[in-house]
Parts: sequence; C-alpha cells; structure tokens
Amino acid sequence: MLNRIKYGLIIGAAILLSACGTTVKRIDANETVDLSGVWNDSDSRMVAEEMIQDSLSRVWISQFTASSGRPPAVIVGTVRNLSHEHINVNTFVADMSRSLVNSGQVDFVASSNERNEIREERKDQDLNATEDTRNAAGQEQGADFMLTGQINTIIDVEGKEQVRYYQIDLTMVSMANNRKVWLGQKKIKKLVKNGKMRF
Amino acid sequence: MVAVLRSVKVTLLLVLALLSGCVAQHKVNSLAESLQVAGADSTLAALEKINPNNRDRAQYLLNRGTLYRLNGNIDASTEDLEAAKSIMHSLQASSLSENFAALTINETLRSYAGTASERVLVHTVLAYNYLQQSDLASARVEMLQADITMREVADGDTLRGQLASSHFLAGLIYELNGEWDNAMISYRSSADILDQRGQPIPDAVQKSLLQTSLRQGLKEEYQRYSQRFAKTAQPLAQGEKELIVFYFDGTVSHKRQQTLSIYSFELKQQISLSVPYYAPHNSSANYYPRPLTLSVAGQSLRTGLIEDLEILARNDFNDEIPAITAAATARVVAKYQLVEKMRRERGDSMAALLNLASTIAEQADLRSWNMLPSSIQVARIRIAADIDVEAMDLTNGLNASELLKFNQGNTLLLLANSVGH
Repeated sequence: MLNRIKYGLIIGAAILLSACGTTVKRIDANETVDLSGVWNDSDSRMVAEEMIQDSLSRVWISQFTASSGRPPAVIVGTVRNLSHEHINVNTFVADMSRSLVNSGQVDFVASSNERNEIREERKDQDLNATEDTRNAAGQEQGADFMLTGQINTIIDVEGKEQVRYYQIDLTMVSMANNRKVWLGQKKIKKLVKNGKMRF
Repeated sequence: MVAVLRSVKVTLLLVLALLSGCVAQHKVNSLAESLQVAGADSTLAALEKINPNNRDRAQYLLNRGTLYRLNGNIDASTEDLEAAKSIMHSLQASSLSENFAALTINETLRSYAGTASERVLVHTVLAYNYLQQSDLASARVEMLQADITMREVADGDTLRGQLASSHFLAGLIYELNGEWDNAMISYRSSADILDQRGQPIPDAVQKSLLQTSLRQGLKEEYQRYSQRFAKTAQPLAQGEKELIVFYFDGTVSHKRQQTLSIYSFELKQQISLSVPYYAPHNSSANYYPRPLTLSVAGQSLRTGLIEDLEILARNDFNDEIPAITAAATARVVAKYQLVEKMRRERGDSMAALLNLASTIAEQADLRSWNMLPSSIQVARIRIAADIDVEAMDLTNGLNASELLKFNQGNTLLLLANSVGH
C-alpha cells in the first residue's frame, strides 16, 4: 500500500514538473497562432497582402500607366495606430511594401528616413568614390502616389468576454493633385473568451 | 523517534519558506515608509536586493518600475510596468491551487494580481512614461486600455476602480492629438467621477471643461460650466502657451496585520487568525495633500487634488473584506480539522507541532503597490506669448522631468514628484 502511494506521488510530481519546463517548437512563419486575441503577425501579414492585392486590382494603376506610359511610383506614408493596442506598425508597413514591390506593377520609392540616409551616402560618394562609380544628386524618382492609413479598434467587454473589432483603412492619394484614387478597408472581428479558472 | 524528527524538520522548513515571503513583504513596506526621506535611488538599491518569488512578481515589478520612474530611468520603468501589466492580466482567472492554499495556509500564497485601482493605474503611469519619452501614440494606447480596464473592474459599481485622474490624462492626450470630441468626453467623465465622490473639481479640470466645450461650440454645456465654476474661457491667443502640471505627492500607506490568537483549553489548540487592515484615513498617520506652488511668469500656480490614492486604496480594500473574512474563517476551520486529524492519527505531540506550524504560518496578505504617491494633483495655466519659456526653470528644487513640449511647443507638460532622488 505504502509503495503504491510512493509511486503515485512520484508519477504525480513528474507530471507536475513536466508542465513547468520551457519548451520550444519551431513553426511555419505563415502559420496562424492566436494566443491572446490581440493583433499579431498573421493579422499584419494577411491584412497587408489582401489590401495591397485589392489596391493593385483597381483602375487607378491602368489609368495612370495609360496616361503616363510608365508604372506609377508609390511611397508608403504614415500608418497611424489609433487602436487599443501597442501595434508595431513598422511590420505592417514592411508587409505592405513587400507586397507592392513584389507585384511588379508599381515602382516603389524609399521612405523619407531611408532617403535621408541614402542622400548622406551620396554626399559621401561625392567626396570619396571614384567618378565612374559616383551617383549624382538630383536624379531621384519622385513618387506619384502616397499610401497612408490608420488602424482603429472598437472593444466591447462583458465579464471575461471581449469582442475586438479592428478596422484598417488605407488611402492612395495622388501627389499631383491630392485626389484620392483608392480607398481600401479591411475589418477583423475576434471573440476572445478569457478563462475563469486556472490551475 | 526518527519519523517524528523528520516530520519536525519538514514542518520547520515549510514554515521557514512561508515566512521568508512575509519577511520580504515587511521589508518592502518598510522601504515604502522611508521612501520620502531616503529618496528613490537608495530605496531602489534596497528593493533590488530582494529576490521575489513568482507569486509576488507583479508587485515587485510595479514597485521597481515606479522607483525607476522616480530616479529618471524611464526605459527601465516602462519595461517593468509593461511586464507587471501583462502578469496582472494573466492572473485575472481564479486559481484552484492558490485558492486551496489560501484557504488552508494563508492568503499570501495567492499570486498578486493588483487591486481594481492598481489595474487602472498601471496604464496611467505607463502613459506618463510614454509622454516623457515623447511617444504620444503609445500614451494614447494606454489610455484606451485604461478605459477598457475601468469598464471591466466597475462590475456594476459606478466608482469601483474609476479614476478621475486617468480620464483627465486621457482628455489631455486626446487634446494633444487634436481629438477634441474624445477630449471632451474624457473631461466630462473625470468631472462625473469627482461629482459622484463629492470631491471638489480642481481648477485644471474646470478650465479643461470650459475651454473644450467652448472650442467645440457646445454652447449650453459651456454656459452651464461657466455658471457653475464662475469662470469663462477664451480661445488661446496667437503665441500663447499652456502649461499643464501633474504633481505626485507623498507615498501611499500600506496595509498592516491584525492577529487574533487564543488558546482554547477545550479544543486543545491555539486558534489564530490574521487579517490585514489599513490605518483609518483620519488617524494619526493621516495624509493631507500638500499642493505644489510654483511661480510661473509672475503668476502663482497651485496644484489641485484630483486623486487621493489613500482613499482609493482603502475603498479597494473594503471591497475585498468580505472575501478575506470568508477565507480567514474557512482557514481557521480547516486548520482545526487538520490538527485534530493529526492528533487522532499521530498523537498529541505531532498535533501540537502542526498547531504551532499553522499558527506561525497564519500571515495576512499585506501586499500592495507600495511606491505609488498618496495623491495626484493637477494644474493648468496659460503663459503669455511674450514669455520666454526656455528661460523658465520650473523644475528647480523638484524631482521632475524636463519641461515636455507638445503641439509645436504650445502645450507644455510638467510631471513632478515630492519624492527626491
């Protein structure tokens, strides 16, 4: 009898201790894992891809290409985080930039910060690089359109349940005349149920 | 004999392990008591010598984050407070094992998840940090999260965990973002809470309500405020600036332990019961908010009370008293039965030993966010266009951040503490 209790305790302790250790499992970067219900990498990637696909399928590209004879040059401006969460907007902007560049349908212009860095490098080239490898100033391609946007949320809370509603609005604005040529919108709704009990 | 000695050793080790947590808590309470005199730097150094157990992790991070903030290390403060916020959120579900331990041993075996007000305050303090880091977007996020937390903790009680200071700060952050509608709603909420508490509305909130309602063209509401506060508002003149001050005064008091211990000859047991309590707010340890008075470009600026955290802490505690009392009663019964079982199975000496151990282990839960101020005070004042703001030294003699500038330098923000380095 005493032995059975001892074995039982040992097995119980082993089970409890196995739950305490850290485990790491590598998963596919595209796999969706929702842990807490907040904005995550999957939301960022899926929203960026879907919205940019929508943008690229609209007539503003063909109209611009027909009138100017070249693909439009786009720059990503500010995407404001007006949500209830600390969202890393940079990853969202990077996802959009990637989708835009990889589409091959638009030219993509470096952002304001990137341009400043490149200009510094060009100045440095002016002083230090050989003439045949030097890049001249004043040859930059100006953007024809700017993509801006914002992420908004509405959170409804009742006890341990939350409905988290995200609305992402993107706007493509013509740099020539401030005309809005494309308005994109993506909505995500999540029902989050927090556990009432834990061990 | 060997078995008895082994049992004695195990019992003593268990009691010592339990008591080590209580000793650490008494140390934290003592550090908080001396914070005003010792200053943030030495208090932080002493706190960092304490190695908290996992159950007290959130409380430790809240306290350390506050001390980092007081000594000017805003990055470290933000990191600690974000971590504490995350732990507190994960602990909202009730734990079976911790409840069992609290009902049989003592209340300190529950993980510290913060009181209703503390769950809101962690967002508010983080928002101050983000403002000091000139990260207005993140400060706004914290205020939105504070709003959700206030809705969660209210639980049908209109004042439970509702912070007028948090709404006022949210109003200011909305103003800085040019979101005037939201600012108006937040200022109204702040005033509503103060009215419900029967607390006078400080001058800064009055001015905010008047200015924002005037700006938004809410004529009837503006008239109502104007009559009530006997004040009028004017739009900001060209080049005129506004200074908003948040002043954090004192250090909030902590809980104390009250123990009832009697020996029952009939039951042959020492019956012990420990519960926490706060010294009454009007006792000798009373706190009287001390306003900050500054001379700003020839005008006298005096801060007004918006949040008395001493009262908030006691209100939160009063909400918890029924659960604490029920758990304490259940614990007395459980301990009595355990000792009796031991007496039946192992005899009087083992029962006496267990009785001694359970008496020593009976400790009240005295944990709280100790390093918070006793009160939050606010002021709002205009500075004429011809005054050189750069030449003003408002932080002289204060533990304050440098004068923060928003809205192209037209809105100035001063966050000052009564606690020095």
